[in-house]
Amino acid sequence: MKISLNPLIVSLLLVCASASAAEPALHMMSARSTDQIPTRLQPANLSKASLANLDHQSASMSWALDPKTPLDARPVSFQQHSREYWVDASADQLQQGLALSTSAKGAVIRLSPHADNKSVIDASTLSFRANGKLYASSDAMSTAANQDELRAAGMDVPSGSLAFKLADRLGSGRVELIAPTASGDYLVHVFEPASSIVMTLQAEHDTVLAGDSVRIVAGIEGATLDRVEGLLSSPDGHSQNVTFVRQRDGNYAANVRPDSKQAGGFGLWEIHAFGNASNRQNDVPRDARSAFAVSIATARLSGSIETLTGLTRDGGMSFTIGVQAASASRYQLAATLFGTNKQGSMVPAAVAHSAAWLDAGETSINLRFDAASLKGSELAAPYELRDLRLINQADMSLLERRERAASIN
Amino acid sequence: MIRIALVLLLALGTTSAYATSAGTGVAFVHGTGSQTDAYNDYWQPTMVNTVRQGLVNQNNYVVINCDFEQYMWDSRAAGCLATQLTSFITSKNITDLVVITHSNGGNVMRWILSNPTYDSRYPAIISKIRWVNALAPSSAGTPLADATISGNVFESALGWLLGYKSDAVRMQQVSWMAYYNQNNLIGTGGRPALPKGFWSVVGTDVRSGIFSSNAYCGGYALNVGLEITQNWLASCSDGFLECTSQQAAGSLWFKDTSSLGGKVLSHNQSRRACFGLETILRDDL
Repeated sequence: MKISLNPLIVSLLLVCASASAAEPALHMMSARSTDQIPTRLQPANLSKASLANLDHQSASMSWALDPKTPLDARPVSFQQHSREYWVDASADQLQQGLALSTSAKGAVIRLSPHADNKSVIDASTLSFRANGKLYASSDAMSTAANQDELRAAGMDVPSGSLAFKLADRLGSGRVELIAPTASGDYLVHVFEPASSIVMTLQAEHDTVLAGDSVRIVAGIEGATLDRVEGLLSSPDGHSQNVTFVRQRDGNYAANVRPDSKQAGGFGLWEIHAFGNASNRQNDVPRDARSAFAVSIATARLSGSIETLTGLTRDGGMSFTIGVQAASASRYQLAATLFGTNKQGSMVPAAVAHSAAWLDAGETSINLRFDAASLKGSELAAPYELRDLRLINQADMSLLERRERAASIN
Repeated sequence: MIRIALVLLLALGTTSAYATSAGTGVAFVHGTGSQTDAYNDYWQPTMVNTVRQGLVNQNNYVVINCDFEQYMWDSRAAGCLATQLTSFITSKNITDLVVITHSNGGNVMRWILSNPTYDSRYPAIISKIRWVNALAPSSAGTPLADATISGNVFESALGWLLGYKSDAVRMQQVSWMAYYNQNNLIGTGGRPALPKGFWSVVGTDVRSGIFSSNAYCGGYALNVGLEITQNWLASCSDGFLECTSQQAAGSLWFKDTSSLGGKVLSHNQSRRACFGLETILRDDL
């Protein structure tokens, strides 16, 4: 049945509907312990901020999500797994025989000259001593690749690098690498793909606000960690020592407070852990490295949120979310709208992003879920705004994140 | 699944929103590196010219040349890509764009799809995209980037370690991509879907034996290095990326062995006209 309405009446109805649907300011839901909430604003590090290339024109976009595809509630911190270690070696050590510890057959070894070392070692000149025997390179290596071959494969190794895999006949344990033509200093990388001794390294959170500390845990599988030393490096190379302390469970933990003066700008911070692992058969070094971000809280959510619920002019859903900015920049809000399905479960409906240039002070960003992004979702109230994130696009740093931001009935 | 349904619809002769038209175009987005002639140096003419045969207007193609030694969001990377795509869309009046990426080019493209508000040009580009065909994308990074970057940081050469490598290599370390996938990129497991389809083609192995015909497509010398780099990777890899990384974002379109007559695509072969890959991409338009 076709229904014909006077366009003016339709407009009036829509205006009335919008007005009647306007609700007083919503409230942000209580923060969870896993949320990232800045407790104070911090000035931008102007020496690292990159505002020059930022777009000043506002932009927004939203799109539908498959309600059947579940989403993680919060970011999952990465755990690094390491079966490798690095050692420095001089020409003398390599000429006389550099002792390397291995815990499994088939170790992959890479020799990289230091930056000021232009020498090149031919794989055929190498020899190895293992199990009381001396092996020529042809017997000791199963495969090898030089600098050009590695680079052609996409591995952008330093000049003069050489990589090879040890043949199984060398077994595991102590292996001496002998390089009679070595000259200058080298970095030796030993990777044991078949080893059961695996060092793990994980930051408790993948983002930390400048001034806060983050807990780092180093563990081991297949052995016991005898010691762990650490280092934290900022994106531009500044480093600070990290002290790991042995825990009752055998893991090593460190509480690290990144130097705030080095925060800001693109790139991630890296935690480096250097351990020694042993079990009944083996005693091998293990090094691991993992990354996390340090954000300067140049802005935060003010806690105010307003919305027009129900029927708006085009059937979309819009939120005005308050932001307190300490520094002018281009800020982004992103969130996922969940709705209730016919079974009564909250499922993802759509995602929206919005960015605008904000001056310092109390301001807001409008986060809009277009009608097209909600059309056909077959979801109903109550809705929830989840995974609300405030990002400074000057360095794409995550400033605030709330797992559950607001409920809309 | 949607893609399969669309293919079935086309096979049945029904019309589809994705049937190629005069407004359909294709863009080739290279991987890590600074390119000035990616047509010849990166993709090579046979690949590009075969794929564009699938277009109604075979002039509706663009080969991107940008500096992907930078972080993906850099003005010389995603900014450059946005500039060249916008110019292509505007000058050729493109209404339906298929983007073909290789390796790290998938990350740069995914940056645009994941961060539509980072640049006010992005939404218009995204609105024209039908889908992205991501050839061996480094969506979860590669241990080879870690191995390349890593060194003994206790020695005074820390500056050497940090300064030697490109930001693109640093960015593709596994832990870094894990961070970006959790915070600055979407489309991976547990994260919101991308606004447009991101279909990965996965290379599963490397053949470099002298008597292996598989080894010679795309250049035998390239595969020799992949044979050794594969040792740093899981058993399923294309010599540069583990299969899990290639499949980490978007949806799996196909693995090499399932669609290329049992042939495998090394990381260098997945950007070249090898084993019929170019005709599959052509027919996808």
